[in-house]
Amino acid sequence: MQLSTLLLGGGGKSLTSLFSLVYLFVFLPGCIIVYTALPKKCKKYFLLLASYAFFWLISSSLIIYLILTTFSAHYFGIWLDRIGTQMRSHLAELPKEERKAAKAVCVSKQRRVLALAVILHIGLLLVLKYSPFFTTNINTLLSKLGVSVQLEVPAAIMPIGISFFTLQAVSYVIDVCRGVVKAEDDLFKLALFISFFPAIIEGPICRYGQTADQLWDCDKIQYKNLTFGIQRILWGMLKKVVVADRLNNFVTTIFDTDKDYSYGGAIIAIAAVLYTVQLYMDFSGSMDAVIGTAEIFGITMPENFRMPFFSRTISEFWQRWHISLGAWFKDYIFYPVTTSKKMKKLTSSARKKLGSHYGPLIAGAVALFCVWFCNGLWHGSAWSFIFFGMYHFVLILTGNILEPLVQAVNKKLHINSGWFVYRLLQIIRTGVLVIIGELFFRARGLKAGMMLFGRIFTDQRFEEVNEKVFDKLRLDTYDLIIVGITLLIVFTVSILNERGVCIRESLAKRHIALRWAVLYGLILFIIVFGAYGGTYAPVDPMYAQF
Amino acid sequence: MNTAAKHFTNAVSFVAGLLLMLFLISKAVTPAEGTVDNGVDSKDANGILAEPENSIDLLFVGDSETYSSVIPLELWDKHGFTSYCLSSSAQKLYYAEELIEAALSRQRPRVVMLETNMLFTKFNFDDSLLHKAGSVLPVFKYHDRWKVLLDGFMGEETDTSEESEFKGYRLYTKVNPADAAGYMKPSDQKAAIPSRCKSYLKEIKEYCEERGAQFILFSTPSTKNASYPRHNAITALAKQLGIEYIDLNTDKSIKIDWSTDTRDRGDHLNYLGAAKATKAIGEHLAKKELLPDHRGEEAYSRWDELYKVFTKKVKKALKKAGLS
Repeated sequence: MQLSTLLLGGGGKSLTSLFSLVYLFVFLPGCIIVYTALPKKCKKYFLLLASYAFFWLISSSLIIYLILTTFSAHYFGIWLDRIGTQMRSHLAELPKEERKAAKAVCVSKQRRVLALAVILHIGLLLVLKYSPFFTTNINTLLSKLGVSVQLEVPAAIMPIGISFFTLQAVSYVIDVCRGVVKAEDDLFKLALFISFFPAIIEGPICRYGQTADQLWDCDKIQYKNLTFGIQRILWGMLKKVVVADRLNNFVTTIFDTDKDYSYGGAIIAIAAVLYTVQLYMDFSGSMDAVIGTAEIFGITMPENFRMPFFSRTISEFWQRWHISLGAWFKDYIFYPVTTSKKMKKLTSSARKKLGSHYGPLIAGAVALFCVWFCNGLWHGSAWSFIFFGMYHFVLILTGNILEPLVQAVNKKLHINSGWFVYRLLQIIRTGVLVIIGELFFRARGLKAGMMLFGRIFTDQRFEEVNEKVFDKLRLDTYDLIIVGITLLIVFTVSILNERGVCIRESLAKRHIALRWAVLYGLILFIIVFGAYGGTYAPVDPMYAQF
Repeated sequence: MNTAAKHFTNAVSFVAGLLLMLFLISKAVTPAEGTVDNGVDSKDANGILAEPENSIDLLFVGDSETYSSVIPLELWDKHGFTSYCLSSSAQKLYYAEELIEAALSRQRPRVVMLETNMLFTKFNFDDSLLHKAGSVLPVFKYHDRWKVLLDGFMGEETDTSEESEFKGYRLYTKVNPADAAGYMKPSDQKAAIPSRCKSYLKEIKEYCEERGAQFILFSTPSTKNASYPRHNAITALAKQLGIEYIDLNTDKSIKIDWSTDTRDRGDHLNYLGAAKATKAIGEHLAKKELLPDHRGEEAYSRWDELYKVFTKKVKKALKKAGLS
């Protein structure tokens, strides 16, 4: 029997979760043991080999796309770097007055090469991820226009993690072009940066300057890193197995299984809240496992979440939720658009007419639109995802437009924006807006989202919110208590983290009996209260599909 | 002691302590043998444990297709067969194996019929691993029993010897018509049965036969799950393993009306469909004379009582649904 058949006999699900038993008790320990046994110079190559083995196990022959992406990024990086080097040496030889024109020629060439690189990488992503969506929409358009020709809808072939490793590769090429990082000569080093196994399924989307050197400069596993890494994985497991998986039956029934949408608005609203909790617990839990795994090998990965539900505005929310994606869009879409010549000109003329607040907003709105259109589309090939992006675009833009007015009203009414109650109301408002967005995000299509959202206001049926219905939806009182307790624990630890308290550091300084008691408590809590086995249906890593 | 040795000793002690705790918790959460509570996640299926010993001659094993399609009390009324549906929602083959083992520890059925939808339900290495872990440290299997224990602590303990009033069948009278245009469209293709499912099937078949039960595969009517490629794949596998296979989807005499006999657009049957499917199964088994007729025997008088209750409930439910 092939290894892939053994591990992936269930449709490849054994390894796609960093909380799967195969990963935690076979793959990861195996990697740690072999990594420890190997001499220092071989460790980095082993990490690369392990990463490719991991990807092959989850994607089989689709690994070719990872290889192609790596070769392409490597080649374009070197090409761009060479143009830059040639430009510098060429400019040094030229008289000062000719330099500007010569530089413009080189920069233009560099931009053309960069455009080609971006088109190739993003083009591959578009073809693999969006072909069925585009073709279906073209067919709909053709049929509405009365054209009898219909295109064949291609089957979706999407390697897991392509949305993540493509963005990493593109960021590397752009950073080389910008001179932020030097092009990497060593193909293997770049390959490891793009494919490092814990991060390839759901990110975080790292920059070359953040992790490449750390990954390549492998050192032996430190006891502290090992224990801290395991603790971080356990923390993620608590979020995922106890909360996210427990809420899955309820959420799935409302959004998927109940095809006739037989429940009233009150239950739908609860499902939207629970889905938002589930998504956060699933994704941030997975990030804990990624960061914890990397920590074992002595690698510091960037954090992807920072207490997002404490945000006072939608804009702030996206600076705290999926941070690496937001930062990617900011650096590689928002800034290039706002700083382009045309936009600068537009801002300059708008500033004169509309003032220093509203003037820059026009160019900002164009850039924001591009960011949120791409953000929506990045999450999936469906109109509901584009709507999700546009929803946040409108909310953020509205927030920016209304900001002076809100400040004026606050001043007039003597409202201190630092007041606790005021901040709390802002947090609640932001939470509600996020939950509405997630309802559309989770619904089976835009039409279904509209219907579900409408029902919250038109057909609440509050009488359905009772123990019997919750039991039917497989979320009984005990489940709710466990979810509540776990959220309270996560909330407390998050606040402590926010205040700069590192629980693991302070725990490490305590007596061994206390340390072990806390760890035993955590492990046993997960084992006893985890939603696994029986009729539980663990949720697949939610961001792996994007 | 150097640092590495100290760390190693600590790690070993920590794991040993954890295993000891898991062992103790396992003792606390494992239910008494032979109780319905023995499988907290599927009470109906585990109702078999509350049946008198050696009283069930026929077992139906499967997922929701089974408890929606087979009515043991109708089989009793028409043929005097004592049967039970060992079925639970989205049941996987490894769980079916466990349920059969639990059932056969108290029953000596003459026939075990396994519904084939499970053969196409994929499960991964993790599921099997967790299943094995549960047999070594039962806390992995019964961890969710803390709810039952807490109920007991709070004075609301469920009756763990409670029988399933419909012998594992679940009554549904909702009608949600199916579009049966493409249902069982002839094809020579064969659907793929996962290799892991095939191995479990072989194991279950051998286990049943070793205990004197004839093992039969059957497919219940479903526009969503049944197809000719699946039929062809199961037929070939059944032939290879020497198992009898009954496909109710190819049996034209059943006359399932997909505009009235399904509760969820063809995925599962409602009572009207289940009555037709049960009739066909009963007639098939009666022809083969594999099972004894226990009607009139005093030891089985409870079945008559349950059938009366069942018919009353069916009438009421059909009336409520506007079907009578």
